[in-house]
Amino acid sequence: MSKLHIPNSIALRNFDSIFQGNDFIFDKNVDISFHPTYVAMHPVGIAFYAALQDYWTENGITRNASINPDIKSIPYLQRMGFFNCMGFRDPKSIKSHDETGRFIPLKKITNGQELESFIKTIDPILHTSRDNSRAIKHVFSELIRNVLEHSESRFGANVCASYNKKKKKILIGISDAGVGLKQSLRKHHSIKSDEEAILKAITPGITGSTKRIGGNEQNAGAGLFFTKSIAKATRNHFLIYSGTSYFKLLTSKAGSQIEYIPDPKKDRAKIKNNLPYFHGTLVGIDIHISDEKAFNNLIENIGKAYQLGVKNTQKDYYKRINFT
Amino acid sequence: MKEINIFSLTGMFAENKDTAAKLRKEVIDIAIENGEKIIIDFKKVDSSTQSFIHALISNSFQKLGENALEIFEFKNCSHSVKTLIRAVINYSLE
Repeated sequence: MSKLHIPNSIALRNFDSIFQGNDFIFDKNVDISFHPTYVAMHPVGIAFYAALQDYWTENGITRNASINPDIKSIPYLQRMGFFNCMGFRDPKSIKSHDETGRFIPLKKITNGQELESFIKTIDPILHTSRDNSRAIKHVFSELIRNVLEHSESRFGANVCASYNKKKKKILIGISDAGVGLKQSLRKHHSIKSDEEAILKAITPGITGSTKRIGGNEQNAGAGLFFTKSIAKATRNHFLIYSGTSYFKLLTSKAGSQIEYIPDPKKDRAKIKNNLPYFHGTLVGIDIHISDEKAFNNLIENIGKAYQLGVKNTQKDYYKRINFT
Repeated sequence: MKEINIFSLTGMFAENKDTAAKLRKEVIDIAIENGEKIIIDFKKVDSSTQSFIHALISNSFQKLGENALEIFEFKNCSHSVKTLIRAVINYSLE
């Protein structure tokens, strides 16, 4: 029987805890164990286990789990939809709370229509205003569309988020149990390793839809670069894990200069290889919500970096664009 | 002259690339073939994504070059939408 251990804390900061005692090699039955006293989980952890659940369902793998019902974080995990996503009944009977303003429970999104409806619920759920949720909506849209277009998973995207109102920070996890970045990008690019696939996926101008640098009429190969840059602009983590590798953008100190560098190897980041194999792709991102001005500056700067990275030019046509 | 109202197709947040691609193929490309000018009206659209704007207009700017600047008019754009259009046009024109 194969095993999966769920540690006491998973965040982007300490993401490696997800590997403790695990090889992610599963036979026909998985025995799941939880840390006996506490389980704190960033949405990236919930999204990750939801993708494992999809993989198990796809491959007819059954699972057993035992959990201490006194673990303090059980109500949070239940409300986030964690146990249901793993195929279990909730371990505890809890009073239902209104999730409004605190988190977006795990949701599966399998098509564009569901994505559109989901995005409409963001402001009411998180109690955000249009002025400060543009970056959040942008990130959700780009990441979920990536899954729908490239992952080939019949389960679609697993999405969840939590919101810290005091810090004005939103934590997002998105996963799929699809073909993974390497196989997806190999259709049009020569890719040797999972690390190379991840680095290519976050390099501006490279898309799984065409070998042409700069993309085609449908894709610019900019979605993940924009998303990573939004995390960078707000000095937060961004993580992408697929196959046996991950890339993690590290945080930066307030006041330090932020540069939007097209080459991800030049980012202040941690790249790890030879990790337990993950079928699919996982993205975790923390962002501070900000006002309209900050979002516009951000898009302007990221756009310039994309232009410079892909076209090697900084020409600005703004004055000649016919805005009325 | 062809006028396209984005809000009626996408609502306040224009992000559905499939809608953008359909508009490009079924309205924009045909209007360009017919030598018509194109007005894209973003009235009531609060924001969008780089991917949506790319799927909508990038191909025309790549194919027609700077001539596309004379063909397209962007009406009632919020600051966010303007920023995205500017970014997409700048990288689409080589």
